Amino acid sequence: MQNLQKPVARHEGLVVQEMPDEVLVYDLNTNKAHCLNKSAAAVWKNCDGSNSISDIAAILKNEFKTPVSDDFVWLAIDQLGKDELLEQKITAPANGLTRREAMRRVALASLVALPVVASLTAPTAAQAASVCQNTGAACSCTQANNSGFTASCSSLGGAVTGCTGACDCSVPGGTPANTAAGQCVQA
Amino acid sequence: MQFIVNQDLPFGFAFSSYGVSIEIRTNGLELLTEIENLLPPASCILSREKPIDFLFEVIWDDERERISEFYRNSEQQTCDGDYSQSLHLIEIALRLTVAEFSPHLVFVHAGAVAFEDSAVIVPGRSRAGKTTLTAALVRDGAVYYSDEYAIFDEFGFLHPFPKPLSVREPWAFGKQIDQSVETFGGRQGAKPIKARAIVVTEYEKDARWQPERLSRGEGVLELLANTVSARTNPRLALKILPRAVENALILKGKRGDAEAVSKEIKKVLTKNAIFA
Repeated sequence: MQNLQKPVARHEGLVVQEMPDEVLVYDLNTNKAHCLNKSAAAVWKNCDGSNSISDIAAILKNEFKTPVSDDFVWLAIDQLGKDELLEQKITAPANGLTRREAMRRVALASLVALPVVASLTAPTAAQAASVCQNTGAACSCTQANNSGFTASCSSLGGAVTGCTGACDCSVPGGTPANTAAGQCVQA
Repeated sequence: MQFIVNQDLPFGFAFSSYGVSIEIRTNGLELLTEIENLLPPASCILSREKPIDFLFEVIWDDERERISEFYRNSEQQTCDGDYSQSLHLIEIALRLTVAEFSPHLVFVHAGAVAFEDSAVIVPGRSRAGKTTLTAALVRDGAVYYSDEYAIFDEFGFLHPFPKPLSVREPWAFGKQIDQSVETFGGRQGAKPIKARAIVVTEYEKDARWQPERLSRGEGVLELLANTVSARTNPRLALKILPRAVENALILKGKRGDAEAVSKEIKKVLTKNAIFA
């Protein structure tokens, strides 16, 4: 059955950087960065509002010189939609399969790498530099018995906003019996 | 940028580091001398007439003999009652400002060394064991670039961030103690070079290093996760980081003993003499 939904790739608020076999996308609205592998990138590039799912499958078949099913394209569309890389999220027609089953079916039938979008939330400056920003930050030690331990955020500085740095857990006035890292959290 | 300088802060100077200019103003002359010793690497003093990017104002409380307030561009910063802790906070804020706002360079929180002009980058947050692995690589003959920031220019070349290694010592209750690279039998690198390996790793007791190979795009994400200006200037990061990884092998996996892993990394570099 022909699928007539025509996805549109989002471009506004994105920084896009092409690499030889991948595409990097930074979302300025969410501060999320994505890495689209070759298959996911090929689908995304062809989401121009004029191609249907079946059209994209045919374009990919021609590009990769191997059969590509509509299910394969749907797998990519599903991920791109979840990552807000499409103008509108579109849903695959219900075929009674779970996502895992659909992936398995596509993987077995495909000679092309499955479409994958790896993502992460970009850190704030202080997070990247491991600077705990809040002197009043609470710090809880992770060892089983916390009694006798003092806990303090080990790296402090910067403006007072979020804080997720590490903290020192040591016995006051003695050799630390256990310096397992705790977690500084915003007070 | 022009700032209205608090007239009660008569002492000061301006400096530039990695393209970021900062003016320090204070009411304590001795304090000013102390702050001069805390400037980020590659700092040079500027003439007072030049426009600056950031104004740091540090208020000294003569009566209580402590730093009472500290501002960056009029925004109050966290300040501890303890004098040495306050100085430490100012030092961190200066470095972070330079790392976040450098106009043409990308600062990645990472250890960085080189074997024969091939850089090995070990990105990671504090307590991931970066400095331990960096020190082990230096003991194994690597040239030291940094244990805090790997700095990449617009062509993806690594530049040094020359500072002593900040090693956590058990006798110092796990606090970081600065030790010169010479203590580890190494020397400081100066020449800009390309990365040949990005080693994404974290210490785990008894773990055996069996890294998986990541794609270069995934490698960029790993670096971005530790990039100070990721949110401030993502365009610059996305332009530079792909160039930084273009000749590199990207490996990810938990590690155990740093000395053993250091030797493995050396082997990997020898085996993979030429990368596509």
